[in-house]
Amino acid sequence: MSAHVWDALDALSPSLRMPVILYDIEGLAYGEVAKVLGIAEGTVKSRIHRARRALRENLKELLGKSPAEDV
Amino acid sequence: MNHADVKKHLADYLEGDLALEERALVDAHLDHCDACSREVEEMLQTIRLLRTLPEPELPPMIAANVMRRIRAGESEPRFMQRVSRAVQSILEPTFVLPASAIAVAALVVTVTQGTVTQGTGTQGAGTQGIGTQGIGTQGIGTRKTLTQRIGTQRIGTQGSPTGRNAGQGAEVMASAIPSLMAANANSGRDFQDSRGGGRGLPARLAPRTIRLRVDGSGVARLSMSRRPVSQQPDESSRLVGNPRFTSAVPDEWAAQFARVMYGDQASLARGTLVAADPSTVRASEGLVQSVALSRTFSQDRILADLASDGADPRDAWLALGFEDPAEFARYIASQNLAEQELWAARLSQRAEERGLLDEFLKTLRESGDVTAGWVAGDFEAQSSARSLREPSVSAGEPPLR
Repeated sequence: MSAHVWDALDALSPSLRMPVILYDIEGLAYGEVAKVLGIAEGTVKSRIHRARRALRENLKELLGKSPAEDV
Repeated sequence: MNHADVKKHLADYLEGDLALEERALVDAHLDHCDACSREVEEMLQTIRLLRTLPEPELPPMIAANVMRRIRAGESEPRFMQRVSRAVQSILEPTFVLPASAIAVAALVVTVTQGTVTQGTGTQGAGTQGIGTQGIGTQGIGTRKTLTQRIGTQRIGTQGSPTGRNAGQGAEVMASAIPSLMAANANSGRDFQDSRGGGRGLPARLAPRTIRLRVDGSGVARLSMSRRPVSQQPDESSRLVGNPRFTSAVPDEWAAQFARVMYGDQASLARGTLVAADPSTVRASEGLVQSVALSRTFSQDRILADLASDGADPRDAWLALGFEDPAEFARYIASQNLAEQELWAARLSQRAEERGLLDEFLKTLRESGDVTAGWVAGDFEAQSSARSLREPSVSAGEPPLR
């Protein structure tokens, strides 16, 4: 399962991939991601959202299989 | 609230950043809109998937280095705390890496200025030695094949074990063997990524479009750890490859970098640093490095590329390890930390596929070379980590023996 997620991350453009990895996986705060990447916090936020949307598309099949009750 | 409103607020909604009132409005919409509620559902699942990914485990080499810095007082509170928790058990403070290894260029970084030694690159070590001893007796491949492999530009320019494909046109690594580079008439200055697909034009032709990246730590650290080429004419190492930034590098940084790497005559295309603010360098170094380790991006693509003509440059590197463990280890140790990990991962995997890992580790350890011993430990760690991740060994390529 996580291999699929990594593949999907891999498929993202780096400008989307980095923020979402730092935020969702590394657990940094928006401000920290912004600092690390040298971009504005608002940009971080929007890129993370775009990245997640793209991931959602790429992981659709996987999402279908996930247990729905623990959302 | 309609669909468009919900979409507009979705990011904040998912993060719980919406004011109570707005949140209630979104909830009300979701209650009666299947499409939107499905979208929210899927987004939440996506986020959960991301957040349940295991945090990258820090390999011993990195951990040791990080701990060394913590002791030296270079704490970076949040990251370091997490790291120190993660590495307590594998702390090995005596593992000291060369200064150049601290020049961590990160995930995005890929200008590895291949400081490559003559030993790895000369025809003697490269072909004959490997062809006869390393390979011939260890059974990695035939002499002819290997010689072909070694003799091609592939190894020099794109066949580094850690070479990453520019799948998105963003990360290209150039690591080169000097003699091969020379043979290809690609001097360091206009080194060209020869991979098919039109990326990586020579810098002088397209200085602003090259997609190689470097981060701030690379510039800052390299300047401390490497001397200009002009000052080391007789040394056996030299630099190849041309760092090209994607945009907006401060001029003085670029100039400094160029001087350090290439001497006074050098010029450098301009570009972006990932962490352009020097004050963030240390933080980003650690963080991005850890990200880099969490996955070799595009590794699969590279492997696919390599497989297409049957050549796997990792064999040549393994052969070098058999042939001259100390030289092999020295080369590995000259890479930055993230790269070292990738080398260990890629090469140990290859050795394993060929059924040669045990023998390889034994060779390294019995060489009596301290660095080779460290490298062996690292290869072993990578191998164990891999077997934990993938209990079943891939049925890819059977041992040749």
